Amino acid sequence: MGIWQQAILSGLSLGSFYTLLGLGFSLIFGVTRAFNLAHGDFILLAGYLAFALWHFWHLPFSWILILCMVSLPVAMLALRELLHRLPEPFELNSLVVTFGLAIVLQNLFLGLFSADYRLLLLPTTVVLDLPACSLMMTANQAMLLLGSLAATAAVYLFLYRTFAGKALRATIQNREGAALAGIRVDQMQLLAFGLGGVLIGLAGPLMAVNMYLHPAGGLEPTLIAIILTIAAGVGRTGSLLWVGWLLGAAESLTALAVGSSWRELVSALVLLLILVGRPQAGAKHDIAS
Amino acid sequence: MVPATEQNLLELRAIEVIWGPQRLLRNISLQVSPQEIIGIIGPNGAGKTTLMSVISGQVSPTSGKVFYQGQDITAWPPHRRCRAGIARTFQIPRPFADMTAWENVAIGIRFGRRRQSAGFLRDQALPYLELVGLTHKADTLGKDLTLSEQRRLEVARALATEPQLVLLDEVAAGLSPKMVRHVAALVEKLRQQGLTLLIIDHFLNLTLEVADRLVVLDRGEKIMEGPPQEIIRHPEVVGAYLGTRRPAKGPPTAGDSPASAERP
Amino acid sequence: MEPDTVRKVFSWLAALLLIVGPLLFPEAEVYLLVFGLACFYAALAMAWNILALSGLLSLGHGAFFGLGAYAAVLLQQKLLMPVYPAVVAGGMVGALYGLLWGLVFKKLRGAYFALATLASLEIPRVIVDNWESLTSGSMGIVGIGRLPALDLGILTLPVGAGLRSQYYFLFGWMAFVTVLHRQALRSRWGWALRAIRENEVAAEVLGVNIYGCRLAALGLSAFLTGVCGGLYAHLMGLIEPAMVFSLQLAAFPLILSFFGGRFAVFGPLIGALLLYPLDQLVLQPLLPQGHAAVYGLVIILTIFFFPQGLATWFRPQSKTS
Repeated sequence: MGIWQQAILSGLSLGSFYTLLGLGFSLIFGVTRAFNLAHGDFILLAGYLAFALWHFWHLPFSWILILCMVSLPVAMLALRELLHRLPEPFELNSLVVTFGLAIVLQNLFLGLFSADYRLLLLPTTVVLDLPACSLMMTANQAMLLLGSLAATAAVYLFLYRTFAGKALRATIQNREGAALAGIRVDQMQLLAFGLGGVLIGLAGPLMAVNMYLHPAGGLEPTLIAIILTIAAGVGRTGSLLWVGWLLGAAESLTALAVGSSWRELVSALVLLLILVGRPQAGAKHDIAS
Repeated sequence: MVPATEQNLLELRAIEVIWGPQRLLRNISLQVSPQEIIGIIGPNGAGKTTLMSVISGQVSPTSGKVFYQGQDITAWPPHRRCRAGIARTFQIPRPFADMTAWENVAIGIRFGRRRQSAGFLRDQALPYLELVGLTHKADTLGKDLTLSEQRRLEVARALATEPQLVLLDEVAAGLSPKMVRHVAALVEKLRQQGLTLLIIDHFLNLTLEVADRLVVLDRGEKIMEGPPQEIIRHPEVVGAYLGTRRPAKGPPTAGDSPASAERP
Repeated sequence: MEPDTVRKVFSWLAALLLIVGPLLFPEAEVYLLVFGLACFYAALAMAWNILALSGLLSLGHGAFFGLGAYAAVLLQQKLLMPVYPAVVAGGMVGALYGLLWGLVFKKLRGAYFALATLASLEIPRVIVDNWESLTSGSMGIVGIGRLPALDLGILTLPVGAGLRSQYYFLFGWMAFVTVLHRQALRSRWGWALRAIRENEVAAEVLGVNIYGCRLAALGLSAFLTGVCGGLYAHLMGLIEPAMVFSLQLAAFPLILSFFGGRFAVFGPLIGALLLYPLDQLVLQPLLPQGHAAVYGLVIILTIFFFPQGLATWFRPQSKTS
């Protein structure tokens, strides 16, 4: 019995982290309609930054978190400038350019940190131990779970309770309509990229302490972010959490049932199902007007 | 089921199109004889373009059947219908943006009903461009043509497939009266050559003159069908165009007809 | 007249150098190896581009490559098939997976198609990784022999005898794929692909069988990529899942094709013959780790500054076709 509960718990914390991955992606996708294939590599960038700050300068983890959450928005605003200047066709070119960016970042990591697996080692303490049902949780796992949930809640409150957040949601749902209502769409884009950067800056260090960093490891978080964004629907923060939990649970249970090496198949199959099953709304608008 | 009669070139039987929550077409039946010119009119959102797409194959009807030359073509893909002789134009032009005007036409020559296997000859494309007055733009890229030139290219391309039935979606919209007369002359000429035409004409500036028959659609239903002069005087048609509930109240006069009211 | 003549002379000189060069400098082993692989990647890029010409960008061609590589090697080891038939059969396995894409992804376009291909790259990789009794899993298969002599009936090519004969073999493979790539641009089918790429709905109402033409492009593209995978296994002598089912194997052809010019017959070829030697001979010694960043930089610069690719500079400006 205990193993299954442990799997649910780890699925829950994994799923919450997935929500964090998806949140930044979906904000940026919402205002640009660009699939950022370098999303996971930006998370790795934050992860490696955290690793370097810990490994070379021995900074405390709280400082590392703050530095990452301040510096990644700068990187994302630079990305925004790049995407803003893209020639047409935007959809295809944004895909190709962010793909190129992912390759540059991967090789940067390879050059700076080599192909070794890296882990930011914090002194771990057990915060939850219930031997009765053999449930256990370390401080790192707790941080992953609570950090992700806190960030999701903060973004949720921002989007639904503040004026700027409501304007951002309006922009995500209908850019033209928002512009007509007097919302400065370009400022909303800056806001989305900045906020996305903060979330990436949080996700990177959390990843560095809980999972191994590897130069080619950016693809998986990218795919997961894409799955969550498409499955939840653009700009729907609430659904992101549910989809994240479902995916996390599915992966954990698959790993338990058939072995952890099959876990990667789950996200690929889920993505395929979502893409193939997606209604092709609006595709034939002009033909059946 | 009654077998499709041989003298009809095209026959629609009880076509229904349901798209999500919307019912775009409701029980539409229509028979078209060879060399007929039919105008399809109706307010925005009446389902005119959807009806055309059912005939050319971009939209499959939820129920109902399409017969062409006595064959049931309901399940045929668009390219097969084109090769059988059905061509269409689009209201919002869809040129091949990075091909020249003559190359656009050459696609129709090569893949249409004749399926010509010889090389891509510019000279073969020019007569079709001449029909629509675009000869001087033969070497201009599709994306560099003006909107009105792109509309004319649509027509040239459709004719290049050597069709028997041509579906024209708003070819005359926004044209000057002089240009409309040109189009009308072209339509007549095509009929003389043996073609059959279905023309969507929201503003009635073309079909009033040339059509044998008008079909009026409103909210997906065929509300009327008949000779143009009769149709435009009918209160229900006026009501559909002016947005009043049908049946419209009060006797309409010729002066209130949608044609004169909305003609630019 | 002059620029056109210069262009032709330049192209012929380059072609001549590629053919005669190895005879003049038989000792330049590094060059033979690098340019042989450049020809290999040129073929891979053109194979990828045949699908791209129909308007669909794939990020999952590594699936065909890996399936081709594993099928070719396993058919030899388990069923004792001769090398070249096994390599061709590997291509067919790739093509079968491609046709499956054609069925399942029938309605997907643009970014959604690209993402679906990315996801379908993972499926064969995870299966090969886990099916250890057949594939030896993530350990990979080692000790794969060099390509044997190719018996063409009238003559026998000693392909694996040395780097020079390997170079000529890969050059010949590139030439063969170039002919098919030219067909995908210039033949009647090529015009159909162009029409589909530029406007799908317009193409179908003008009589172009969009599904059939696209499926043909996908099948051929997957087949050639699968054959490349089988050849790669013999060139490298070992295969492992992460190596052959890799995103890089779609990234590479995409970048070489965009850089060289993906609407020109020789575009992907020019991209491969310039970029790969530059990377291997100049950058790799300077930056042993991370030199491949150049591919990412090149694709970004290409999109911003010359989206039609290098080939437009080689092409005469007067007429478009």
